[in-house]
Amino acid sequence: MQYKSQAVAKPYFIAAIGLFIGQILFGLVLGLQYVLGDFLFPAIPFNVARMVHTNLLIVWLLFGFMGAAYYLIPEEAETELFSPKLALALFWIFLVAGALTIVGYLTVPYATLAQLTGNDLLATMGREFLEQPLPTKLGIVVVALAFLFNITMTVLKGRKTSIALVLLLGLWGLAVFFLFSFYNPANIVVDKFFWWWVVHLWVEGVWELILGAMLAFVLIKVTGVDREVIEKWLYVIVTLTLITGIIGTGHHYFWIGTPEYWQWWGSIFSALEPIPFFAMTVFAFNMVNRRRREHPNKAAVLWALGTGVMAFLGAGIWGFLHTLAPVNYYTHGTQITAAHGHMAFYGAYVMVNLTMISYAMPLLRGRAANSNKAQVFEMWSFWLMTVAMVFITLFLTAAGILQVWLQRVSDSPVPFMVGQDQVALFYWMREWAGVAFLIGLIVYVISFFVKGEEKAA
Amino acid sequence: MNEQNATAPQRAQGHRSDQPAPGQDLAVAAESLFLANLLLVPVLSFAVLFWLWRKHADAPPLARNHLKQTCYVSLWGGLILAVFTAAFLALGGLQWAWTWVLVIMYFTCVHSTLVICGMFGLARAMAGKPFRFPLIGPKLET
Ligand code: HEM
Ligand code: HEM
Ligand SMILES: [Fe+2]
Repeated sequence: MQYKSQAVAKPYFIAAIGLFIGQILFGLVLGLQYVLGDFLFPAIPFNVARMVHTNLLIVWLLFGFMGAAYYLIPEEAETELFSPKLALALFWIFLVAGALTIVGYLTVPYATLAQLTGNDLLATMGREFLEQPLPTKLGIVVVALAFLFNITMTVLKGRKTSIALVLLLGLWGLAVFFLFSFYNPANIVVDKFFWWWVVHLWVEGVWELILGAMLAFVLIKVTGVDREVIEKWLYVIVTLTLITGIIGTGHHYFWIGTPEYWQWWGSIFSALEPIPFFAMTVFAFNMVNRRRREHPNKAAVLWALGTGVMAFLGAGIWGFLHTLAPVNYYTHGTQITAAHGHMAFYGAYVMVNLTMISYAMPLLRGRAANSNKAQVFEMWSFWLMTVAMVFITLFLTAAGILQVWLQRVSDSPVPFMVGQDQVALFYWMREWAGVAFLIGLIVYVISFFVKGEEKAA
Repeated sequence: MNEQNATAPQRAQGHRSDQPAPGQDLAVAAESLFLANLLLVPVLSFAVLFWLWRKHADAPPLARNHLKQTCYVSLWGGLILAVFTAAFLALGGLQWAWTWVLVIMYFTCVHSTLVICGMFGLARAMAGKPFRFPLIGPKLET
């Protein structure tokens, strides 16, 4: 750690991991409710557990991004953070607001929660991923703006590198597009149209810039390859992302009541979206192949390479699988979508956060890298979680193909719930893969407490 | 990475980022054509790849390595993909749900494995290093 103020990243990373555990526990609850419908009824209904699962995911990824920015920006800008105190205050505000929201989801019926929190003043609730009550949404905006102010001021007073600028662009974009969560027109077509400006333009737009910047930063550190080489790659990735991802939004406008031309625009541009992910993978492997030093933190290198591969598989391959309008006509909103959503979120954004944490945490704890023994634990957790996620994806894909056939292709289509009964075996297998995932996550947490001979920073 | 796979002269070639290794352009072309054959223009890309392999019989070892690997793996990979897919379709019939479960899962998994391996190969070619495809790549000459 080169700058004292980078230390504020630590609580962010710890909170991220804590919420990650919560997310997975609720994932397992959901998976079980898929096959044992009464499980935890009426205490935790499926829709509530689902909301907790997905919202915890988003919130912990945001904690991870913020921690990453607080770690990365001072080092890139070569100056202390503008205000470490502000960063710490925001941490507590965000954590408390997040926790209260989850408690609200779990203890108060959603409709009552909406009433209590002023949804009648400005109706924003009730939409997937954007379920947060109005005060939470406002809190997110305040925290995001203060956070952006803090890191932007840091960059302004220090060195301006491409990595820092790309990261800033991504984070500003994240905040700006979140503003569309306040826009909730009565016309459901228009509503959905702009809902995707948050969801799609996040994961297939501005978050990809954050991903690229974080990966580039860690790769410079662990490979020692020249900054110019890495920056050139980063420019290419950013350009490809924006060219394909923005109009690629159209792959969500096939069947929601939007004009038909979106079937062309959406298919063509989103079919190109795998290209930036492709570039990222080749980039990561190329840098490691050209490395000029053996960094003692082997686990961080593994996470970085894993991010490349799994993001390409989850977003690139599993995204392409259902992105052409004639295919999506059959697969829209099936388990194929869930399969893709799981692998893409895990491969890209979970893994890049774990890459950053893997690289930065030892330094934040005063050593260049963890002991070999601790790294062995961490690498085991990498393989357990990653292989488990591959299996979750495969089981959901199989369930999805069967579901499409039974409900939408067959000459005698069956109703939704009849189809669900017939694919239950795959849901059981998904649940077991989820248990393996949880075991991997437990090993991951344990790796932080494994002692052994450490290398000094 | 697969340092142990490299032959002595290849390892000695080094991979300084400022100067391309001898044969690196051809190596990169080979891996790119391999990927194009899988992703963009099947068959045609392979035809060009095969022609390059034949034409550059005495190219530097790095280029020969990548040309040979990609040609072999295109052939074997293509064969495994096509034969089993065709077999599943023939045996299961088009009217059976499980045929499609099997065929789509099989094709997606094998195809994306080949693509990922090609990306590893491309990254190694761009770093001026030799590569052996796992499992079905021919042994490296020493
Ligand atoms: C890391 C990047 C990505 C993430 C995290 C991600 C995640 C998701 C999620 C969670 C959904 C479900 C949304 C919902 O309806 O609730 C979704 C839908 C979709 N994604 Fe992605 N995605 C990514 C990249 C891509 C890419 C690159 C493509 C295309 C090549 C793609 C194609 C699609 C399509 C077509 C749908 C709509 C599925 C349907 O009609 O039901 N995604 N994505
Ligand atoms: C123990 C492992 C996990 C299990 C059993 C699990 C289970 C589930 C279930 C049952 C749903 C609801 C699907 C539906 O409504 O049809 C869901 C949704 C979702 N989960 Fe997970 N999950 C797990 C881990 C994860 C992980 C690690 C991530 C992210 C990396 C994740 C991201 C998501 C997302 C994005 C959705 C919304 C998908 C969509 O809209 O299509 N889950 N999960
Ligand atoms: Fe999208």
